[in-house]
Amino acid sequence: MPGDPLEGQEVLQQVAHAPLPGENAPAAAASASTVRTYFASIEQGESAAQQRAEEAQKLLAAIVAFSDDAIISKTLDGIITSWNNGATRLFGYSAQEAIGQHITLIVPRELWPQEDEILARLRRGIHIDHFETLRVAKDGRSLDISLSISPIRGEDETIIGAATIMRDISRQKAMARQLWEREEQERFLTEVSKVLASTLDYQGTLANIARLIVPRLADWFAVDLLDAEGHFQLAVLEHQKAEQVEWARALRERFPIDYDAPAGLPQVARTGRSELYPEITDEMLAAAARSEEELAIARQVGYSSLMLVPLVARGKTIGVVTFVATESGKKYNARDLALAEELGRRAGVALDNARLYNEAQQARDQLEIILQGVADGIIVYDKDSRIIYANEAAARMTDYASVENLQRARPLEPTRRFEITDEEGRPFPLDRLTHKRVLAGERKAQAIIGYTQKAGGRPERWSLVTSSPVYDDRGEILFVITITHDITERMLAEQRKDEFISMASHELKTPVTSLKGFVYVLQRRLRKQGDAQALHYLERIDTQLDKLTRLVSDLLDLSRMQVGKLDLQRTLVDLDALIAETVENMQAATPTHRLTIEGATRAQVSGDEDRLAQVFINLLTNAIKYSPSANRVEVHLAREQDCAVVRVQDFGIGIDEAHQQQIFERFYQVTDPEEKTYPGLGIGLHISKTIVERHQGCIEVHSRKGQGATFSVFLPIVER
Amino acid sequence: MQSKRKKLLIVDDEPDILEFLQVILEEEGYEVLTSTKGEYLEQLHNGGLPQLILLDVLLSGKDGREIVKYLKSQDETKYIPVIMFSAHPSAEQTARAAGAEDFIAKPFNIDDLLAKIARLLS
Repeated sequence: MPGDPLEGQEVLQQVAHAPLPGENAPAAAASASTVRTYFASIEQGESAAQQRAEEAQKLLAAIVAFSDDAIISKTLDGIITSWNNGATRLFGYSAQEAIGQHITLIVPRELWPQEDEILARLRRGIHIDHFETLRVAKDGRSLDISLSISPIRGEDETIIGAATIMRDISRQKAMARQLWEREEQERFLTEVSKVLASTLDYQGTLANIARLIVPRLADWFAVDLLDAEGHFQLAVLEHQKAEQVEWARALRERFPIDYDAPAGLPQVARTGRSELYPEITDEMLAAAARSEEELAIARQVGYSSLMLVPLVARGKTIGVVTFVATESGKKYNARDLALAEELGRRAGVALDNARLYNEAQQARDQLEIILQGVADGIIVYDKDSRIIYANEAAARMTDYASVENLQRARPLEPTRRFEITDEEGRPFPLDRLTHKRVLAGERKAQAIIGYTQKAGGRPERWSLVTSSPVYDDRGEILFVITITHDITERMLAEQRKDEFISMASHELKTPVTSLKGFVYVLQRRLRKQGDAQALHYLERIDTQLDKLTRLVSDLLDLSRMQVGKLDLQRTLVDLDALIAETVENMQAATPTHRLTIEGATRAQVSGDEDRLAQVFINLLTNAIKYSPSANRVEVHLAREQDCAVVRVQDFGIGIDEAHQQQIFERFYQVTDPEEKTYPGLGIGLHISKTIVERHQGCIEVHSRKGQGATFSVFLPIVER
Repeated sequence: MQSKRKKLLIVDDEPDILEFLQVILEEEGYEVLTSTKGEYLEQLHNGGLPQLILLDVLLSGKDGREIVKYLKSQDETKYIPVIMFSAHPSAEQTARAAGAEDFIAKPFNIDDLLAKIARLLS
């Protein structure tokens, strides 16, 4: 009950135990209601209570006086009735200056309506707690405060005034503002990053960044990139007004960058360190201007503040970003610089990526153009034989309507309409396709492939197919590249030539037949007449005719081997017997050399007896031919594992190591001048090699120039 | 009158070959008929039949092998032995497949040819 002396005590206790103002917010409210209660009890005017109240009043007055918070009371009309030290400290007015003034003394003009509202609520008896608002100090400073207001009731419970406790929350406010700013920056950087990441298009990236910066962070924004010679290329220049941009670009042309300047763009590029000019003064402009005109223009721009930060990518400065504040009057500080630098880093990376991507795209496009323009077919296989790239020419050559169709085709069937054959017209074994051979380990595989219509017939087209591997850095195969070169013309020309040779040799044999026939007739006649000399001449003619026949036969063999028509009659051949017979026949016609046989194969081989004989005759003929100053040729027979070996050794001029691989080639003849005296077509060894290989054997040569030669023939033995 | 000479018919489109073969074979004691045209063979009738025919594989306008097949299909001529010759040694297989009893490659060894003829006529 008001007036109760005990109540006054209670009040005292409450006040004594209440937390000191400034410790926590609830205290302010508690203090307000406590104060209310205090004032109320004063109004009572009970004497004993009055005495206690007086004591309480003194205590309270002391507390109020020395509180950190501003404690102000006012009438319902807003006239200040009390003003404590805290208020003086906060607002700068002394109690004398403040008491009697309207509360709007400390309220910013724009908040007066708010004050009216507060007073209205107070009249209705409504408390206001922890309301954050602004007040103004004597010196005009804006103050962030938190206030709590309670209505003061008179003895009839009517409201007669209000008590306000105000707390300076500027520090909290400042911190909150800083936090918000930092969050804003983060949000901004996130947005920037999103924008930067949204495209690999170089120009697009720059334009996007510019739009984010202007006018939020700067009035003017420019990005200069360093080219290969270290000169700046203006990549983007942005201002809110397009015509300003035009004007500025023109200026840039007229006043090019001074690369020797101690500060500015070149210096930032050189050192990689940003430059911050928080306040641009006229003196600075004058110092930097190189001419009166330049100074006038600089003034016109209206520089207020400036930041230059480097664009960094992969540890290098690739350009400089310029932020200029002009009409906004913004002054850049260290925090702005930090944001700008971060921007410079992120933008640098994005631009670098865009540039790299661009270059890669260009290179790829160029390569694509080249590959499509190349007449050869190019196919790239992965290690599972799947086609991962093919150019148009490849699709054409393998008779697919398009590259897509080719890629969709099953891996082992490169063609659709055509059968593929080897040089000799036999079906090409799919596991011997060049890319498969490379996958199996060959370093480079080459083959000639013919394409025939499935209906049959001769190949319509020929290709020379070469495959080579591409390795990864572990040395494993990554891809196989197959290049298909059309050699149809060449092959057809060869075929025509071979056909001609075939026909020609046939034609040649006919007159030779007649010649031999008439020689025979003459021999008969002259034998009867006993003309020995004439007979002798006829014999010489006959020998030459045989030689001629052999040459023509070799030519015919050669041409027919090319088209795969070398027919072999396979029988079981007693090799030793065949050799013996062949050597015997040769010896009969060779007075100059002694032909000896040593050893035995004791073997049977499966093959064409005539053709095998042809091989040995060829080797023996060569042995004799190329050892004119020797007097023997040795034949060594042996059996090695499952092969019969026939070695024909001569002691003549030998064969240079450089030529040894090539002597088995068609038409190859040693071009050594001294060997020009050895006649021959150069096809005997080639024919012999083909025959031996068709018998599943092989032929080798061991020789050194001047030390004779040994030709070895290996043939697989057929067990009896 | 039983010592009738054996009659040989040689068909080749090269006259020189016909000439020297005729000389040699007549000296060996055969009666020799020659022709450069394959059509002649199809007009053979009783009375004019030879005891042996020498036939080239490639005649102008005709394939000798077809002729042999025809001869071997006619009762009158199927018993006459045929030796085929050609500048293509590979023709041997197809010649024998067509029914020829023997084959010799051009340019041939005359003695070999004489031996083959004698063998087939005995």
